[in-house]
Amino acid sequence: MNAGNVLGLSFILFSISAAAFITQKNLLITLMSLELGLNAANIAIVSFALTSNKSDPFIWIFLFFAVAAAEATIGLSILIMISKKFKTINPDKISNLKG
Amino acid sequence: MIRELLFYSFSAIMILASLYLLFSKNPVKAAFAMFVVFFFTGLIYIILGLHFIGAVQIIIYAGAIMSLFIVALPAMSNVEDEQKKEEGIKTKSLFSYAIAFMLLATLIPLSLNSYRVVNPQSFNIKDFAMVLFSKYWLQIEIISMILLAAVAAAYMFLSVREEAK
Repeated sequence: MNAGNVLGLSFILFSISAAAFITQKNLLITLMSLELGLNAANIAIVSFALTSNKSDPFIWIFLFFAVAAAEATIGLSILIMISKKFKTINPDKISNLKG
Repeated sequence: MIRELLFYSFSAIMILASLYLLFSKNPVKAAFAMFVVFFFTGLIYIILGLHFIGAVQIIIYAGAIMSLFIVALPAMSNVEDEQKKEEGIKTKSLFSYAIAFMLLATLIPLSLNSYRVVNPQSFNIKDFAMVLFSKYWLQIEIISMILLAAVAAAYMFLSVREEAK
């Protein structure tokens, strides 16, 4: 197990999350797959950090944690608005721009 | 040796759980799969010797963000339900049995104290804190403003809609 294995794991997870982001018919699961993509990016940063002995990359992981939390808050509140307005969270059925 | 074994089995569980999220139609089960991925990511950080990052990962991702998703689910209960009745309970419970068995298999060698999973030299919490609050003070301030803006925006989004009724 070296840094390359960790990087490969993050590649696999990110590609699966990107596929889920594109194909899912439920906006809530789309948001979850966004979180998975951020998580995979964090794993990639860890794999690069393993090859150096500085503690700077871990700071960026911290900042990504906070960004993921803020993104989940905003996304879920927008999603609750959408579900109140359109009565559905299927992105194919939300096609009315005027509201 | 045992670290490799744990790493590859945890990676396999994470990949399986994210594939489950890719094909699932039920948000609650997808949220559980997301929880599994986040939790085992934290365990992989701990295997790699990053205890602190692993603990924060489990607290923030598997704790806070997960509970945010679970709390937001009942607020969307007015949407049309397009789910079919699902069958095959036995295979799904097999998956949870596999996860429980993996956790137990982690605990058994730890209790025997026969090996050390972690490498304490690889992450120094003191250096981390010194760098965090000296070199990166501006980034920390920006992040705190982002979190504050997120709270304010969520409040605005959810209150304006009620006034419009």
